[in-house]
Amino acid sequence: MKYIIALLILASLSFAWTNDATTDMLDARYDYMVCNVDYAGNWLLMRGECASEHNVSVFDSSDYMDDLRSDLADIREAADEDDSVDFGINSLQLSKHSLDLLGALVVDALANKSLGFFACVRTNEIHFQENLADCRVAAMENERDASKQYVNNEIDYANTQIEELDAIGADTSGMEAVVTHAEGLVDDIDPAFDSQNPTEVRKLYLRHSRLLLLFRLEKMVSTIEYAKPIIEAGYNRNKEEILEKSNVLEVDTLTLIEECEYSSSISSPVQYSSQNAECWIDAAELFHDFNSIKLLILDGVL
Amino acid sequence: MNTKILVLLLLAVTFIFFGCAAKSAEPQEDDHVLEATDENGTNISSDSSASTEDNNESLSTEEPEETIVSDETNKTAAEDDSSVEAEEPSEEETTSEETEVAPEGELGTEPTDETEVSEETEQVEDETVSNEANSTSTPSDDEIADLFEIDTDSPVSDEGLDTEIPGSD
Repeated sequence: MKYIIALLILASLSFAWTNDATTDMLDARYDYMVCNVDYAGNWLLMRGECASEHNVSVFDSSDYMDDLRSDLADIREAADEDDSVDFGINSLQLSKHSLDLLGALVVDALANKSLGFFACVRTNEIHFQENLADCRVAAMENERDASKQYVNNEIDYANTQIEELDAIGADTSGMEAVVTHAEGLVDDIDPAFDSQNPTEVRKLYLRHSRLLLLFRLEKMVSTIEYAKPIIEAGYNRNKEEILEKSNVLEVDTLTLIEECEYSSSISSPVQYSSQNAECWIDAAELFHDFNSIKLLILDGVL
Repeated sequence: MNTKILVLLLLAVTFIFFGCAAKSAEPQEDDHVLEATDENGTNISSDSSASTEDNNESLSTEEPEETIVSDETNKTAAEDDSSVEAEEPSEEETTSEETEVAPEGELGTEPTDETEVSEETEQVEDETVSNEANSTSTPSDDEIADLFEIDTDSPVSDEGLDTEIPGSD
């Protein structure tokens, strides 16, 4: 019976909410990656011409470029299928192959190159860098619009969840506070993109990641606080175990909320990103515990 | 001639048999009502009703455990219970479980007049209303269980607004 319940839960989770702006976000991110890969391809061709011109040898970069273009094709496919997970995995693969190419370039640059060759590359790359900047600006413009839509959709969905819990009498103040922060995030999208500074845009993403995490944690606390007295007064066979687990989970969740406190100003993106990663890792266990309470409740009824 | 009599007899026996079967089907409906009563929390069940007085007491002690049950609902339940008590014939107060289960005994016997039928209908309606009141005020275990669902997707990276998108730099 437990397996059946677990399957039912999995089935219900598979119908989780999806953001309508996901496609636009994926397209915008893909366009940004195309800018980078095109730049790399053109820059390597130009470098090869400089090498011929100055009679120096350069490494064969065709395999590296093939990898990058193959990754791009996979990313495009994932974007077409609205598959965020595949999109992310293939993007990581693209990042890895980009680093491989960079490493090969550094090694090659140290082997028998003339000053004339380096001067040729520096002169000719200016044009490509300008093209890259223009391409990125256009991609970021699309990303700005998609970002706003994306966060606004999330806020709408969050408010729906708040209304549902509020209607049954749960305390949703923590969730509401997160939504207020999210509204502040929407206000900061335009200035960040206007700055054309990738770091400022990255800060937006870091803040978004934290808010998404905090909203889920706050929702868990609201649910537990609401459900505990009802379970306590009920006749569920697993009542004691449910209450014990809920109490522990509530304390752990509140602790994590405190540890992962939100800040709209980020002084060190690296530090904030690292803290985000730690928070998500800790939260994953709490999410699992939270969902397992459902199984426990249903098991106690049957 | 004998054949005709035999056929008539067979018809008569068949009629009597199906008549009894139809009668015996009536208490099944009563069982359903009894189940509804149990869910309602009025506790008019064979387990808890050692006597009708005990029944009343167990109602008052067990109801608070149902938590968010409104006063009105309590009143309705109490009225239902008292009506059951009033309707129960004193002669039938025996130690056997079957006769102690008041609604089942009442509804299982054929009504003697229209007033009794209407009282029983009202009683069933009250129980239905009371059931509805309970279901809106106190969530069931299934409803509570449904609240314990949270997305477990963790981001591959945190560099995209869709948090599963890593940065491309």
